[in-house]
Amino acid sequence: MPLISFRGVGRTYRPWLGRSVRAVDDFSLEVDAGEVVGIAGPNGAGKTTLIAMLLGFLAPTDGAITIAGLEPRTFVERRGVGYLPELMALPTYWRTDNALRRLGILAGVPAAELEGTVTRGIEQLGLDEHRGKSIKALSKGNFQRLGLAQALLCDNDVMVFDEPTHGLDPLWANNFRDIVGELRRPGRAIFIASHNLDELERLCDRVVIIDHGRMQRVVNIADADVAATAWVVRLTAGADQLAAHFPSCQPRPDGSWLVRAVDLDALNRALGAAIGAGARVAAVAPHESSLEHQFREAVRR
Amino acid sequence: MTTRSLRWMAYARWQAADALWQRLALPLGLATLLTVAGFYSMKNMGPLRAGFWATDDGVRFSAMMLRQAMSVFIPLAVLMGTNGIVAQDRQKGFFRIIFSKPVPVPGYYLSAYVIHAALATAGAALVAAAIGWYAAPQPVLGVAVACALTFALLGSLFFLLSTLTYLDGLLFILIWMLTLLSRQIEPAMRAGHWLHTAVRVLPPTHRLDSVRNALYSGQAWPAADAWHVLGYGGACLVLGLLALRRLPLAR
Repeated sequence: MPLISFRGVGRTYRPWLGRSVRAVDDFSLEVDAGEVVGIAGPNGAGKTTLIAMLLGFLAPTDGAITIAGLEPRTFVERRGVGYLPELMALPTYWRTDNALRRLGILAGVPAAELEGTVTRGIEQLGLDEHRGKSIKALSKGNFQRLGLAQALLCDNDVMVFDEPTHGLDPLWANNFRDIVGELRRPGRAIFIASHNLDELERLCDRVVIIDHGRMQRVVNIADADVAATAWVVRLTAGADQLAAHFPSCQPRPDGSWLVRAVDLDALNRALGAAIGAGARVAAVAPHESSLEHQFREAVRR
Repeated sequence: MTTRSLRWMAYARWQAADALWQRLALPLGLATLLTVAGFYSMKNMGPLRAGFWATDDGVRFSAMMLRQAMSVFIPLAVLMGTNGIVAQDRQKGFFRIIFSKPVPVPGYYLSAYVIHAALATAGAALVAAAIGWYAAPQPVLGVAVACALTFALLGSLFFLLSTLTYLDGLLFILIWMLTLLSRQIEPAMRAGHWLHTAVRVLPPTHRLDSVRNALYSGQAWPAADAWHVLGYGGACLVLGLLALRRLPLAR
């Protein structure tokens, strides 16, 4: 049985004044324990509504969502979810360490373990020098790290991160990837909604692309890696040899070359021949990831 | 004791700190200031003769100071204690993190409401006791009951409105004005007229007033009025809790 199940889920917002908006439409997905699933989509695609329904903050107007066979709100009230919202909000007069204490109590951390858990969270997210500050005094990045720390307070079976690296510097964005890597375990499902396709590609097993509230496709990342057809090649010598083996190659403004090959084998054969003829290759990378390619196809407007 | 109730007790400490510093400190400070200023000006009028507080004038003045302090403290404590008690968390988005934890929504807000009411009641009793200690003895218990009943009636109404809308403050003022207006025109209404029935849905503030007056003057309180107030407030509270259970947190 999947840990999380969306069956024909839809959500329509009906304001008192104005037109109804169909934010999510006929969304079906099953997520097994142990999976890391990404949700990608342009602004207003329905990602946040989907997450609000997953946490039981909103009820679907059609279909049903279950977590471990329970309605979302029932599951959350019984077992809790590690959740970092896109729009992090906590009372600004709370102090950083006290915020973790309060939320640790609510999360069900036993009293005897509370201080240790708070200290661990503060150290893990590098908040030591900010522990006595009020939330009002935290920078956006530090507040986001506090959000991550509170999401990690408990060993929850379901983790949901909505734009987790928003506002984080590159160092902490990278640390976040390591943290998610450590969070992977059998029995736990992790949801990550992000605009950052590179991040999703690195972290997730599958990425669901949604647009206009509808699921457009599900990209299996393991299969997607090999699907690129355009590559960026950086050379230290031998541009002529490269051009001889990739007739359609194009120079790029940064000095690298854009080459096309039908598949990895064809790329390797042609590169091998170019190297044999004297080209010196410094780096090869997909021009755009398969996920990026599929995302653009799926949300083409 | 279950793990859950231990957790509530641990969190109640934080809710009490929030209630005291964020919502009740101002009304308590104002009531104290007003009382101190009143006694100070009394003292400035001339030296009080020995045993003045035991005289009729002394007792009357003390009672007046108590009513004055409570007329500021109790409405402000109810207003600041319950205005936005639920709506603010929703509007500002605090609910997203709080209720991703294994926390029942009605339980969380019921606990906040009870803590606010208890602290406000303790605050009212404290002011009454302080006046009683400095001047003539005051009906501390009566003042506490009056504050608790006001919280039960108006605080519960605020609680209900706060579960239903972000505009709880505005709606409360509207209901309050309607209530005042209806009390003026009610005697002129025919029994059985629909307006007469509609007025009964409004909070029974006139009954609260009669209970409060009796309590402040240390007389026996009209039990029927008190039960009416409690019944109305209890119904609002239960409806609010049901709304929290049934209605989605996000809008």
